[in-house]
Amino acid sequence: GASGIFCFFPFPDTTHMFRTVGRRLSGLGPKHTKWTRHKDLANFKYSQWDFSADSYTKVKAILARYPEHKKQSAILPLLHVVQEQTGGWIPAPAARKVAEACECPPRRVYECMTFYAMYHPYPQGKYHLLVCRTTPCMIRGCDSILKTLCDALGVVEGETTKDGMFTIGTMECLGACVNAPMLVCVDYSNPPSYKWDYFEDLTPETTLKMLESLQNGVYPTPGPQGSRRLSEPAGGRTTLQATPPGPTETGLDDRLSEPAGGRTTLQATPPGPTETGLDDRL
Amino acid sequence: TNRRENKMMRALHRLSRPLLRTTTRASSAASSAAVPAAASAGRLVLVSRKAMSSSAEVSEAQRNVVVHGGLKDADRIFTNLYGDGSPWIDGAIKRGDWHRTKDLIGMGRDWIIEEIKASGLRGRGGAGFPTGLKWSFMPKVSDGRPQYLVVNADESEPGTCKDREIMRKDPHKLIEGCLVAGFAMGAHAAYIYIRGEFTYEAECLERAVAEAYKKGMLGKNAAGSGWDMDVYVHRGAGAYICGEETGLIESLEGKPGKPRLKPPFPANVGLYGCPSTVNNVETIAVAPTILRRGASWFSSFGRKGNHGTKLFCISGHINNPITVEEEMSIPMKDLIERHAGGVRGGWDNLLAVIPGGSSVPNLTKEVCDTVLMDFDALREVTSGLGTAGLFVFDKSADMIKGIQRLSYFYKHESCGQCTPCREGTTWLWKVMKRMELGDAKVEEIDMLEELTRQIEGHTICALGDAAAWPVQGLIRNFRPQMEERIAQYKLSQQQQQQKQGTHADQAYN
Repeated sequence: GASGIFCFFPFPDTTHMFRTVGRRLSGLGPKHTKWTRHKDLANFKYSQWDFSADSYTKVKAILARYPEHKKQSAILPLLHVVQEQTGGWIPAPAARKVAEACECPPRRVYECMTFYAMYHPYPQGKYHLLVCRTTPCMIRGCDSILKTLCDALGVVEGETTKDGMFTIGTMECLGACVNAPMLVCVDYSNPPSYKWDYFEDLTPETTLKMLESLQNGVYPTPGPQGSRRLSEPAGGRTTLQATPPGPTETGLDDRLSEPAGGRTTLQATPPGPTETGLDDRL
Repeated sequence: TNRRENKMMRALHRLSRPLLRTTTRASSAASSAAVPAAASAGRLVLVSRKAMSSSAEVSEAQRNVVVHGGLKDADRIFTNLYGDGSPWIDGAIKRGDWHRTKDLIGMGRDWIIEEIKASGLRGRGGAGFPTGLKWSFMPKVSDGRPQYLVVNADESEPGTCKDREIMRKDPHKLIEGCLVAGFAMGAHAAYIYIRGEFTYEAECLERAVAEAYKKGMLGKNAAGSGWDMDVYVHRGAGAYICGEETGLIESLEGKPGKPRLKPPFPANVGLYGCPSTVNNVETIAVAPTILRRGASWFSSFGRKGNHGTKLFCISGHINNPITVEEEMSIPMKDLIERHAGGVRGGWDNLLAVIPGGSSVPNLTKEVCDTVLMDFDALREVTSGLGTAGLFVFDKSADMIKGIQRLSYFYKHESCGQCTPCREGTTWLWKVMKRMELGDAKVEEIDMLEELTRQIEGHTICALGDAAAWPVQGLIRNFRPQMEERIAQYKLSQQQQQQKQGTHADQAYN
């Protein structure tokens, strides 16, 4: 309504009511959900937001990577810096700060924030456990890992525990398929330092052990939780069983001086001294 | 002219996307079986996999055919795959990286491109486009715009985890590759776009880049070659679509990773509107070794048109999930049994294999018995090599649920730009979810197939095709199982209704 000399204006502001008639009558829900609304209540925790001094060093290093007039490229890395500093999420004022640093309109940052899966517009728990659930992990039993975690913590997928310690989520393929099933533990318990570690080769037992360890404040060792080190076969190696050789080149000196497609000239031993009618011409 | 170049590139681009509706030709059967006679010691000679029409042809083929596989450690490129040695520059130099890079660059751009063309290296990122040809598309003379090399380290294809091994255990192969490839295409800057989830791998890569700068291998007069080269690591933020060439360029430019239409191709208008080439990590990382050891060494592996070695990631219902470097054209059965410990419960317990990351159709056991792991052989059986990330399903697996999960993956990862993909992947997933329960009609299987054909080929990028192919493979190979599930569901619904009684009875109860 209006404000000023007449403090009491009898007619309500009906704009919103008229504009949403179609949406309300057709039974659609609110236009913005927590995924698309960046004026979420949680964001009002910060009315202004700025990078810390440490973050500013990172920001400068990041901006130096891209051409002068193409600072927009830095949006993605800078949003990561924001998430590290706040401990797991991106407040709207922070997004506007990133826009300022990248000299672009804020909507460009909002576009990126909502497009990419790693950016969260609302706070997460101190430990964000994300289980990979695409088919290679699914056939190795990621559903039981997820169920173990949810049952142990008493939450459903996507929820944060009441004490704000753990958020259980899922991700699409995390790129560790030979170490399936696996999850990512993002440790935001001590911003701005954060850890993002893969815990691989999980079983329900090792998952519970990992969870207990986190609950006791001891960060478990990342990587395969079973017996193997990396992606080598658990049953024993079939390749690379000896120390690899040193620099290997094959006929490099010869090849370096010859055309790659094979010689087109000088294919035989050159003849000895050649003269044609030299004596007459002499 | 630009238009002619575009036409040519479009045609070549279409060739690299497998055409699944072509019927196999008899001549291709014969040509695929015959292989150059030069066979190095230690390889077995076995029967060709294709059924020939006459016994004379069979014996002819038997004499000529070589079976690939059993790569020796001395021929392996990624010797630190399991992290035995130090991934840093001291270990890399011991393993032979950065050896005589100056001499390789001293030979000139044309020599490098000719060697790579002669080696037969095809893109290792999934499309299998000839790499030498791709590098030759970059302008020889700059029109004022800088040229860029962009390395695609956004490894998001389900089933694929080979690039992370390169980046955390052998990053200097990649960095040297950036220098050599960047020089070959006239680029003074390379951007390595690494997926955001690979935080540890990004740290390793950044450390390796810093080491290379410190040692003078990058920067001004990189490795003493006279070429200035800068390498930057850019972290993504969790989107599969940013693994698509133009989606990656868009993401590098700081926008949502929504792919562009091609033409114009990145070699004309790429990163920041400048000529750029996008290559996979493995493709770039093997380039210096190919140059050092010779194109003929590299092309001695694999069949014609499918040369070299490849990192295979074998996951799923096998005894030993593994990432292993093997020769191209190795028989799939040999690969799984030799390196992955075989299928759980024996080879006869195999149900299906998806051979090249989730974007290719699955193959049933009959095909897996004899098929070779290379681009052409898998295309002939209406699948594809893709990124060579195999996942193996044994008889205990629910194929329909597996493909439903993949459909959800594509729905989630669709950027939303073009209607066939955005609406199609959602629709596909919803139908697949019902197919998993069996809550569908038999006619809907045909409708599902038609839907995939409407998505395939009608999208801006290949994600539409990638979403369509697994479902097509499921319908082609597992239709009886789908119909059985529908019948079972119908039966269980009928039984439930009989137990509950009709609505009329319920009203009075």
